Amino acid sequence: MTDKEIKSKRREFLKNIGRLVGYGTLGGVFAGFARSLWPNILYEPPKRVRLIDPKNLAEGMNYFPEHRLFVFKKGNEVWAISAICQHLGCTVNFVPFGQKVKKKILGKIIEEEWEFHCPCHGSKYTQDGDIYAGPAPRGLPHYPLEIDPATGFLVVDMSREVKKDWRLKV
Amino acid sequence: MKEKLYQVWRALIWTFDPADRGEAGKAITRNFWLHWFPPRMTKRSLSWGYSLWLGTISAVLFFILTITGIILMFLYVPSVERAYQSIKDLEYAVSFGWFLRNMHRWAAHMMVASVFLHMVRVFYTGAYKNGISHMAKRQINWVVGMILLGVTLLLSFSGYLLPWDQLAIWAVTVGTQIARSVPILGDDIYYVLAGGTRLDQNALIRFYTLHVIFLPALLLVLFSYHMWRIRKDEGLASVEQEKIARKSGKPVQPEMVFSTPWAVRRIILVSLGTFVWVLFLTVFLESPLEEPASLEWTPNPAKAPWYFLWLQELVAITTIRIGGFTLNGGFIGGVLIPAILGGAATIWAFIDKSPPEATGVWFHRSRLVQNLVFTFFALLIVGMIIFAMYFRGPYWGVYWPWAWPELPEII
Amino acid sequence: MATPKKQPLPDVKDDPFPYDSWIIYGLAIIGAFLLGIAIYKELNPEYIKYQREFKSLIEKKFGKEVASKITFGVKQIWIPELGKVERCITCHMGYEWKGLDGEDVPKVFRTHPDLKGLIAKHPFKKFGCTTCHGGQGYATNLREAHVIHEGKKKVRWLEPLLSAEKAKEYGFKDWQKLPLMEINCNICHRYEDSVPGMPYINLAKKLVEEKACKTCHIINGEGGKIGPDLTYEGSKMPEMFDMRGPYYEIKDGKPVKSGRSIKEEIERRGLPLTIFSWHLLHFEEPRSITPTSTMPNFGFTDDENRALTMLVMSWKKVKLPAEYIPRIKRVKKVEAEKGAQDTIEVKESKPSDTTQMEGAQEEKGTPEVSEELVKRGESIFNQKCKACHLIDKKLVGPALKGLFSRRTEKWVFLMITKPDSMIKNDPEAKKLFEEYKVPMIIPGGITDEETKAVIEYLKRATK
Repeated sequence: MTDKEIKSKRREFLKNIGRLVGYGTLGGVFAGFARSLWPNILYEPPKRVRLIDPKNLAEGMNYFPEHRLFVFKKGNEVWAISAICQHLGCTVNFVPFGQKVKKKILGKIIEEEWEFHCPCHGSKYTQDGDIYAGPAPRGLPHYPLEIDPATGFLVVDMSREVKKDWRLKV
Repeated sequence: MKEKLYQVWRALIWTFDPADRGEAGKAITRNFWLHWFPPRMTKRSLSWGYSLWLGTISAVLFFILTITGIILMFLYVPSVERAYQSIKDLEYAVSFGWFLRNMHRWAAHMMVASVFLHMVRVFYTGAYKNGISHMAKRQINWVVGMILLGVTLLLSFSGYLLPWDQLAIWAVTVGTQIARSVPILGDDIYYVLAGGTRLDQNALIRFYTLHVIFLPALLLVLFSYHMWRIRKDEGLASVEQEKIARKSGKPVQPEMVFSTPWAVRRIILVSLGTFVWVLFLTVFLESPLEEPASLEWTPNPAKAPWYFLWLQELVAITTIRIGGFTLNGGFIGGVLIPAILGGAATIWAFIDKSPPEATGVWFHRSRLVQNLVFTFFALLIVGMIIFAMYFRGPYWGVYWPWAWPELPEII
Repeated sequence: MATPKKQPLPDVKDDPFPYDSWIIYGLAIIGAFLLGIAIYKELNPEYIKYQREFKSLIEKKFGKEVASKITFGVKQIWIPELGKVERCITCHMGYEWKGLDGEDVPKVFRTHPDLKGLIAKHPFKKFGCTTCHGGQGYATNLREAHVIHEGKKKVRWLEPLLSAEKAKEYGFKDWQKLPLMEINCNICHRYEDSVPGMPYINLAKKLVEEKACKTCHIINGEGGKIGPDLTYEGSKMPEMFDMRGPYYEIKDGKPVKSGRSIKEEIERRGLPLTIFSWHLLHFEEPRSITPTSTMPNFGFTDDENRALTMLVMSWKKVKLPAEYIPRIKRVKKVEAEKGAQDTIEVKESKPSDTTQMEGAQEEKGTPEVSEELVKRGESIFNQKCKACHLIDKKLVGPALKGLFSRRTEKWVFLMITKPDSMIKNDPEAKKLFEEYKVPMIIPGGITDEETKAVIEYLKRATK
């Protein structure tokens, strides 16, 4: 390459660096602006809430009305099911059988001790929250539980769902 | 493949990087953004020393304000209950919220300053004159420019109220009370501006609407006309100098420069430079926020924003008690004197009798007197601003800037 | 004239401004650098180092798994009922963690004291932090959250942090217990006579009762109009206190200009320049601030001055939702006295008010002068009269020494039970009013039976 060509290639390279830096800076500023539109704090009731001291949990069914949430305890396992009917949002009724009952639901035989029935339009859910009758399009969501390391309280996180066999060991 | 990509790339950017003179000329009519410019401009009109590029700087600042303003519209709430909190959230809880607010505020202050300096430059270079051009009527642009200055001040003033803190509400109280002092119409002006008899939610939403849509739209329309008139007036006033030289027989051919890419590149330079300056202020200087607005107590002293401080100082010194009668300083200092000054400056473009040779050149001899008078008033205004900012302390008393008396706290 | 030779058009590749590109690149680099600083500032706010330190503390104390649950970022307690946003917990992350009470834990991370007692009654979710401590809940950096003024650079926030350091500046001996916080307690607890945990305010309220401040001042909506209405004294702004005025000293019972302004006196004593200090000076000697004041010097101790100042500054104008108003325990004694005021039927008062006004001369007769009656009279006198009348000294009202050598018992009886009509109709009472300029007002009123007791006491005490 001639001297002139080398010089011109170098100039072209520097120009490109300069362009990259320039556009990069502008892009960075606009990225910052876009980031500002993702809220960091919300003025809403939180989705992660403290429920109860686990030693005050009753065996079987516990209901928390202000969160519309069932928390079940069997032995050393606990899990949480929403009480909000997935059809139009009514609060479902807890229907205990008092004993283990075998039922044929959707072609399968299952054993259960309770169900959830919605008083508004007749949706029916199995013990695990699966929908088997009525207009609701899906089953009741299960939410994860944890023990709050700060206070030792049971905490539910209603911002995400877990599978129906999810359990917390206490 | 590479060849295809390169062709697409060229098709997109050829107007900004013309290969030859033919393309340079065609680009002006084929690119929406470039149609604003003539195919070529004189090198002198593009020089740093002539215009100082203050007009472009002002336009760039307006653009920065528009972009940051639009983002802020998603985050600020114009309600008397929520406004202050939304600003506090910007400062502490929104990612880059402090950045947005600082940039918006500093660009606003810079824009008021640069529009003012642009006016000063235009006056000193006699650029409102028409030289020997028969078709040019640059006085019109001077008037439009003065209106633009007013709109810029109103934009800044309406924006000042929005944080709804003590600084906002009392600064706007001072300003609207000055407006109220206009005889006969004063009370009605205040009533419509504030949407009531005092500054409350109605005032906030009116100022907000003025600030985010009405005044920016007005400014955009006037600015477009302002730019169009430059084309109609055959370019910046400096071109008159070349015309005069040629007419007198001098073998002068003005050095012409293709608008694309050279003028475009310089505009990019000025834009980037302005932006980097605003970025510097944004990163290193904070934006103040005082206590939440309360009409039950007034901060001591209560001051208008800096670009109106000269008005407040004028009002203070024209409020003179003669026996049992007090001169209405609000009207004299706040309305009459500024109206006279502004009006005189505006119509001067039509009255100026200096020769055509004084067009488009700095400090022409024939305009010495008017330049001195103008300088006197400009310095007076700037002086009053500085004085009111640093030497007026609590109770509007005069103190050395380092010796302001300490005001008590609560606990 | 030769036409100038037409010059050829320049080549579009001849750069007329050769430096422009380099300047652009230079500016781009500066811009990138500044953006870098902005991003650094955004990613490293002041609170981040506290949060990181907290996380490693938890990891050391409780293990990695527990520590992994801690997230970074702005944290807040939002109390919509009070319109408060408390971001203190962004740095003070340990406030409700069990087991962080030790001295080895940095103060900022320690568990909040008395979680089971005071906090159980004032849960964080309902009260937040600044309700009790003051300070700025919105802020996420130390200086602005704690409202720390650095010389001329003030933090523009009205609620100060009621810290131990502040209490120390005012000379509280128990400053480490954060006594100033009682001011905020009393914003809600103001109608209660006595609340456990508020010793200074309780003392101040007792003094208000004893010294009968309502005689001259409207407090909580009732009282006299001689002095200013104090119902919202705590909401007054510094602008309403002119500290430039002269400070007076009392020499030979008369106020004399000391040559110092109130501000200078406050500074001379090493007190902060605040409304609080103004009140301290005023309670100590009202005439040192207002030389024509009729408010007596009650001779309060420094502690009493501080207590009273705290009480007065706790009387703020606030909107309290119903669930925040504490249950007020009723005190039986007050009810009985109020009952005496409210009843329309006249219990034991004499039916001959008008005959007395017409100047009937006969003495009232001689009721049994039991020691009990005199003692009762003394206690009533101390409660209701002593604020303005001393035996030996002229105060708000005339000294009472030798009272019954000047006035008849009947006259004294009328003066006590019907001061307003006496001032209007009785020439002697009118003269006194012209001299003292202050009408006689008895806080809580006085029954005829109590008046008799007072007169019996006075008969002895004023000899």
